[in-house]
Amino acid sequence: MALSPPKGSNEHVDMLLDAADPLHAHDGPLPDAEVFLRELHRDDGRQLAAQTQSPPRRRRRIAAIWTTVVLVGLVGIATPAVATVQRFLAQTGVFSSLESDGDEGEETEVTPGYEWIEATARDYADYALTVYDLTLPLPDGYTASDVGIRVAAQQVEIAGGYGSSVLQQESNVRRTYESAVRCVWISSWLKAEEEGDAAQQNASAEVLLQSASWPMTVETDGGGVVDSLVKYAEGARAGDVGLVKEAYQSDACSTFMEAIDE
Amino acid sequence: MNPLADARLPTNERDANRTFDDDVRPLIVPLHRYLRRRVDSAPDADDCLSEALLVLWRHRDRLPADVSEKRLWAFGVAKGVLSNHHRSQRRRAALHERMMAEQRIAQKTSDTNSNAAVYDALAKLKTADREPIMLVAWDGFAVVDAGTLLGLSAAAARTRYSRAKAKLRNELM
Repeated sequence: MALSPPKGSNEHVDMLLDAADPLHAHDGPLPDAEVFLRELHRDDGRQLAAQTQSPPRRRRRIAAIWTTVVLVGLVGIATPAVATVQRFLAQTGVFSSLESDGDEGEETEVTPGYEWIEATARDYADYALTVYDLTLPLPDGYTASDVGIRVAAQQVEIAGGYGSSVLQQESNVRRTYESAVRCVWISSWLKAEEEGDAAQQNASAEVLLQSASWPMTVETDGGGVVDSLVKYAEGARAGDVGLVKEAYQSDACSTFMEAIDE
Repeated sequence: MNPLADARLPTNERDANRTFDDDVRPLIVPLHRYLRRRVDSAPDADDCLSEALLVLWRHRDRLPADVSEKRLWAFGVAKGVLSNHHRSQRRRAALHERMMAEQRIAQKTSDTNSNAAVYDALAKLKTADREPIMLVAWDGFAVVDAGTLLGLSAAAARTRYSRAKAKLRNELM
């Protein structure tokens, strides 16, 4: 009979880790590789067919407008009179066009119609600035360029930590900005509450309520996100500090605010 | 691949599909196990795996030729997919909080004491320390390869791993 390694030794820790592998508790059939490969080629064929169509005209127009606005407004670079859609290395040119199979209740994190973006590309931050929505309101003391640039830099840093490809959709880049700006307002509400500034609290609560209808927040809602944002905003209106702190946590605001308040 | 669909493809595409399938097939089970250990349910692991495979397929031209580099590349993609998955879960955290708590309680009560102690000890480590331990112990990576996956140099990976292991040992004692 084999002896157990001495308690406290590296071997003992290895033995405990091995025994604690969560997969031991989930013993089941191994995944069938052929099923996954078959599904992959079936889905990919369907998407490629859809990708041969041009992106919706409205989206292309909006992209062109934002490219112009952001370059002038954030970076201050002169742009030609006729805007063209800026191309970046970060842009893969691959658009997701997943169609529902009609399976009720099925959720997907893929937002149809949006391009896949490579977050580790060296010009990702430049790209991200082009999709920053300048209509997002900010409290006094914050500027769109600060938020846009710092959040993009943070995303670059996070993606760089993976040491490999990190793909996300344009919708996610935009939603990240909406989340970051929402965090600025949540933070503003909490600060106003500490300082007894009721007017600022009210103003922040109103923006938080509006934020539940920001376009990417709504479009990427896989189910219940908007409802929970409304709940938090109503909590802010009612002066519920606990609920607003919960909102701060649930939106991972400390990460965003670390970058924004740097 | 479905033989009927396969027959309709031009030869070069069919070859590309077959090469990709041959490259990726041996990685599917390890990737699924990696994902399954880090998500809450088997269907979530299936979804993440499907998404990772789609990303690998789209970037098949960049797939390294070397087998071990290919494995690292594939796990890197899976890591990115997992990160997106967790990010989306955080957004839904408030809604799922109760359900998750119930799942965790159910899981804990079914774990043996020593396993629960390991999970508690792992939970006390920072993510940056926990991940190399899990990659080495559960996913079969060498320390340096786990470091590569986490964006660390070989020296940094060894230091991080041994520091993390020491912390884990202290937590378990």
